[in-house]
Amino acid sequence: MHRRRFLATLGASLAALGLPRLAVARPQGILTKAIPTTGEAIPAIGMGTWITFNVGGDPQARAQRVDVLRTFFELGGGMVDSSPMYGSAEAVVGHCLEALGTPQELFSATKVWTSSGEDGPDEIETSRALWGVDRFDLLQVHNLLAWEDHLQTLLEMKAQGRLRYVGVTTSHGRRHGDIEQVMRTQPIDFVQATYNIADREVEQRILPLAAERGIAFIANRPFRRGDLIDHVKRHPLPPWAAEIDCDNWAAFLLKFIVSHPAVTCAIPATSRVDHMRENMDALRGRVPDTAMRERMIDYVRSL
Amino acid sequence: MGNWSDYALSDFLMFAPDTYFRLYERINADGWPFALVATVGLLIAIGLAARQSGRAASAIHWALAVVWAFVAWAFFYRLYAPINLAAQWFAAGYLVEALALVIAGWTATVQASLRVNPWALALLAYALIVHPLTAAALGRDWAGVELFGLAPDPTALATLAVLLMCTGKAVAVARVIPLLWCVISGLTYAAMDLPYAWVTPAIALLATVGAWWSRRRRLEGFTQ
Repeated sequence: MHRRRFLATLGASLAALGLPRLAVARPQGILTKAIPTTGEAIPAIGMGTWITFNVGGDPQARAQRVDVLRTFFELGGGMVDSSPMYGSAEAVVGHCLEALGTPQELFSATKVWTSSGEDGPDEIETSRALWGVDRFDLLQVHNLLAWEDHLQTLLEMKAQGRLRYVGVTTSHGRRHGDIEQVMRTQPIDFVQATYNIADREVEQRILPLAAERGIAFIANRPFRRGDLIDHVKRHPLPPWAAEIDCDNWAAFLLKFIVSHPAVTCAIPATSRVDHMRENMDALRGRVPDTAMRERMIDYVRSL
Repeated sequence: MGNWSDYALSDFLMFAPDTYFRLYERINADGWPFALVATVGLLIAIGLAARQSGRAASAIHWALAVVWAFVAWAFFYRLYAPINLAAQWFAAGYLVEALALVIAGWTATVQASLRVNPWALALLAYALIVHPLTAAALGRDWAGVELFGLAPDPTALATLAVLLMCTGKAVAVARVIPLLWCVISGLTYAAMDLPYAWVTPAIALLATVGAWWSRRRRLEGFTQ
C-alpha cells in the first residue's frame, strides 16, 4: 500500500475508533501524533536524557551533546524529556538549548521528583532555570513520588497558565496499578511508562485506558536501556523491513512502538549523532499496520 | 519506590561508562603534577620510615590525609558529584578517612622490617604501577589512567598498603574506609557491566587477609 494512502487510512480508522489520531499533515512528511486533550500535534519520536546527558561540566561531552540535540531538531524532533533525578542532565540540556538558541520546535518535558510536596515548587523553578525556558510544556510526577501533592501543584500551575500539560510517569513496568488509578481519577494530559517490542505489558490495560480517557502516552525505555538494541543488532534486519521503510534496527524498534494507536511519543536516549539519525529515521516512511506489528514481534522473539 | 528487589544494580547507575572514565582524563589534565609529587613523596617517606620508624610513620599518615582530602575535593566534589548524587557522600567519606589518618598518625609505627609484609608491598606496587597500566591495557585511553593522589582507587589501595605496613591503635580503624571504597568501586564497575569489576575489591581484600595472616604467623613465631 502506498505510504500516504496507508497513513490516511490508518488515521481515518483511528478517528472512527475514537483513538488518538496520527496527524500527518506536516509538510516534511514527519510522523506526528496528536495530544488528545488539545489536538496539538507533536513528532512521534522525542528524546530522553537519562544517562546520556548526565555529563556534568565536561566541556568536550557538552559540545558533543549540542551536536546530538542539533541533529534531533534538524531531523524534526520536538519533545525533550528530562528529570531532576538525572544528575546534571537538566543543566546540560539548558546548555545545549542556549547554544542552539532554544529552537521553536522544542516541547520541553521534565519531572518533579521529591518526596515532599512543599519542595515541589522550588524544584520546578530550579529545573526551569536550568533549562532556561519561560515555562515547561509538560511537567510530570516522576515515578508517582508524592503524586497527590505534586499533582495539585501542577494542576494549579496549568490553571494559572504557567504550564501547558500535566502528567505522571513510571518505568520498568512498576506500579501500573497506581498509574491506572491516577489515569482513572485525575485530569492528566500525559502518562509515561515503559513500552517496547519486548516489554508489552502496557498493551493490556494502560494503553487501552489512555485511549479511552484521552491521555497521551510517552513510551520510555524503548531500547531497554540499550540491552534490546544490542541484542537484535547481532542479527540481520529482516529483508521485509523495507516494507516499512526501515534500514536500521533503531528505526525498526521505534516504528513498532509509535505504530500503536495509543502511543503518542517514544523517547529514545543517545549520546551519538549517528544513533540520533537512526532514531529519527522512524519519523519517516510507512508505519507498520497490525499484521506487520505481529510479524515484527515474532521476528524479534525468534532472535 | 515499590519493592527494592525489583531493581537491578544497573538501575542505580546514572551515567555512562565513557562519562565516568572521562573523569580520570579530566582530573589528570588538571592535576597530574600532584600525582607525581604524591607518588615520589610516598615512596621516599616509606623508605625513610622503614629505617626510622615512629616519626616518619606519623608523617606518612599525615601526608596521606592531605592526599585523601585533595581527592575528596578535586575528584569527588568537583567532578564526580555533578553526575552522581552519591558522590557527595563519597567525598564526605574521603574527608572522614583524612581525619582518621591524622588520628592514626599519632600512634603509628612501621613494622620492624618491611620484608615481613610482602602482601603490603605487593599491594603498593599494584596500586602505583599495575593498576594504572591495567586500565590502559583494557583499552582505556592513556590520558585517563588512574593515578595515586588523583583517582580514588589507587589512592585507597596505596593507603591500605601503607596501613598494612604499620601498627598502631588507630591504624586498624583507618583501614576500614579504604576497604569500603574498594567495594563501592567494584559495585560501580559491576553496575557498568564491566567484566573486571571484581579486581579492585578482590585485590584489596586478598592483600588485607594476606597481611593479617603474615603478621599472625610472625607473632606465633615469637611466642614459640
